Amino acid sequence: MEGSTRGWSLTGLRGFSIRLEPRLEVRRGLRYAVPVSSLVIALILGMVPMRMQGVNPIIGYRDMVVLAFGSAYGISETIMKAIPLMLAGLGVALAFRMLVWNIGAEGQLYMGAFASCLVAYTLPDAPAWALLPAMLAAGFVGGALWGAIPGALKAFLGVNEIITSLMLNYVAIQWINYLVIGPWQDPTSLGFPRTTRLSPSATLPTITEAWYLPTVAFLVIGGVVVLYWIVRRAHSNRERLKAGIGFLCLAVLSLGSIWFLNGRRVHLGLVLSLAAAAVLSLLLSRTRWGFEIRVIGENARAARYAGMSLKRNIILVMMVSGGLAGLAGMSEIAGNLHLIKRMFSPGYGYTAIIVAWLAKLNPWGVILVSLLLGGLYRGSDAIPGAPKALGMMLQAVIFFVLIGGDVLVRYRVRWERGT
Amino acid sequence: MTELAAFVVIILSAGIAAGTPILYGALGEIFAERSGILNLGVEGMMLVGALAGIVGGLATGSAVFGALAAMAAGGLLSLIHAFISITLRGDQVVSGLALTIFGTGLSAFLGFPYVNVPAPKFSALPIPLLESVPFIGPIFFQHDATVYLAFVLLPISWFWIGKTRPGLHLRAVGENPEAADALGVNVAVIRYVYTVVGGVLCGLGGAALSLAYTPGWIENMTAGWGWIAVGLVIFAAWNPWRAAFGAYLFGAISRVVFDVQMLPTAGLPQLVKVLLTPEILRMMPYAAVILILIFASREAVRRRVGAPAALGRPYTREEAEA
Repeated sequence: MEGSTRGWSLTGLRGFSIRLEPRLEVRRGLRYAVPVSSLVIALILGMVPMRMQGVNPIIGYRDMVVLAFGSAYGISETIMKAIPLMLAGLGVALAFRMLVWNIGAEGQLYMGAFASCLVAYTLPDAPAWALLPAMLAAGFVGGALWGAIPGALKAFLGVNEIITSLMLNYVAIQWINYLVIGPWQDPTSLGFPRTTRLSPSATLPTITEAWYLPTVAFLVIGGVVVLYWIVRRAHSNRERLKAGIGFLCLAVLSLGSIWFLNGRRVHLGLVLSLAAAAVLSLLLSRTRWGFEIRVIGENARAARYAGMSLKRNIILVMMVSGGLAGLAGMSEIAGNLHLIKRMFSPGYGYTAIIVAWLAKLNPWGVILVSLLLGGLYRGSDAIPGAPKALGMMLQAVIFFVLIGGDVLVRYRVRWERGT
Repeated sequence: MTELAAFVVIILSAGIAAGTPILYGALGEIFAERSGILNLGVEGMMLVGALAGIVGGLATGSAVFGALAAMAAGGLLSLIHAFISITLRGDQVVSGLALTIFGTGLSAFLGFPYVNVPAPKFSALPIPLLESVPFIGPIFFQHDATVYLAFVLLPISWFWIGKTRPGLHLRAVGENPEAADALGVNVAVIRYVYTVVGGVLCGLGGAALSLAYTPGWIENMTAGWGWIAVGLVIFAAWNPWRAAFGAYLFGAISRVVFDVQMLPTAGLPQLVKVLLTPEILRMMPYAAVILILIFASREAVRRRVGAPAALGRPYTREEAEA
């Protein structure tokens, strides 16, 4: 075969064919153009089922954008939907990096909520400074243990983790269903399937003006450290510039968001998600463990020859992944709902899969994509009919188009005449 | 007939009725996976099939046409997966997950006006003579047409995959596409055909649910049965007969779970009472899938049976990329 016949033909028609050839280098512009155009194409495709349901798609989309991003209140509600997506999405992205297909984030989220509430209900009189960290830890552990089951089954017995993690979703949801109409049901709920409200010390605080002072103090200390680093430690002006601009952005963003979110429902879970993204991105890029995850994901055999333990890493990754999903459940309950009700998650754990993939498994990408899909969740409330389902369907269309669009990033499409 | 025998007959008969939708899903997935295409969209295709069955049935007034519509819908959806995984060589796990999420969302969105709308259904069709055979009759021959169709499809699938020339091509493409290609078998076409056959069967499985077993449309009515079907394919070691055994077993389990919650619980110990609450019992089929997969993995090691060797791996004739 000569060099120009790399790749493969899409049509076998005589005299005319479309071929896909691998690109030697991926152009930078393309890497961003493809996701954006995928989104546009997906929204256009999504018009078909909307039309079938008797909704004018243009007006529908306008209403969705206005509801999700058109006002400060709308944006803060969008962030509320994005917080669980961020945490669960980070977990899923971590697992997918190692090609461990954890699709049990939904169940891990429920079990995280369960474990954190277990702590809250057994220690009703604990002060917030002790209770909230304990609930946080319990949420993480609850999700991590639930994730460890498919992890251990995969590592030791080679059982397919896709099926087991998914089956455990149904088990976890039934467990919560049992609790909310059984032992944990609020006696004053008149038969509604929900638990007693969490005490104020068990709820995550919302972002308020009172945060200005600590934030400014944090920024001053951080500023001194960054300044010291810029003057004494940085190796080049380019590094100095990056650090300076990064720090300025952090200061403006943190103070700006306190101003913007003051008095709204957005809670500490947002800070938790951002911190988790920062930790995860450092973990993946700077530590030996992150390196192992990348190597195992790219070439498990090579990793084994290099002496990395697949079994240990599979279980560990499933636990951290499940733990992050558990945190999503904890923050949703302690920050947003303040009680557990039947089916309290509208599929956040499943959307987290889409979030992770759209973000190309990049932690900061997860944060951005979560905001977008959170907007979809929020915005689809504007469409009459079955709102939750519309958001889910549009997400999946975006997902499909992006999987197809990825091909265009990696391959060049060539039209050929004659064979 | 003693009481116990009567109970066993009821459970087995109900197991076959309940297992039929799962069996169609598992059969479809066996065809797709045997050709090397892992399609995790079974749940989504069954859901859209279930809705299409209702819509088609209402439009034509006939359950048969409803089932045909369901098959068409399942086939169309699987075509998306086939295009992404065969033509574009995308990741099959991710594409299949997308298909399930898409099918769940699409069916819930479009199905909104059809929730609990009465639609045509397949009614019971006892087979003359055979139905009156003791034990065998009530277990196997007092069902509706979808159950009998599965009885017919089972030996056909087994024979097709194992004993015919096209079946040999199918297995070759799934085990060793390079060799199959070298022998002149068109790998892409075979994979397209069987992925779509799989989708058609999954759609039919959805219709067996919405037009026969639990007539009517409810959002997310498959409740994970499509995923159970995917799990059963592994348990069945890609063999239709074993898939049938697994599917009917799960049907029986879900029936037992349903019956046990009717038992009086007064006077029983607290732990047993908890175990007998409907929510805890409803976990059982899902937990059973996990147990059965553990069992299957032990057996796979012992008997050295495994997935089709090329499962999930895209095939490129000119291996230009490393």
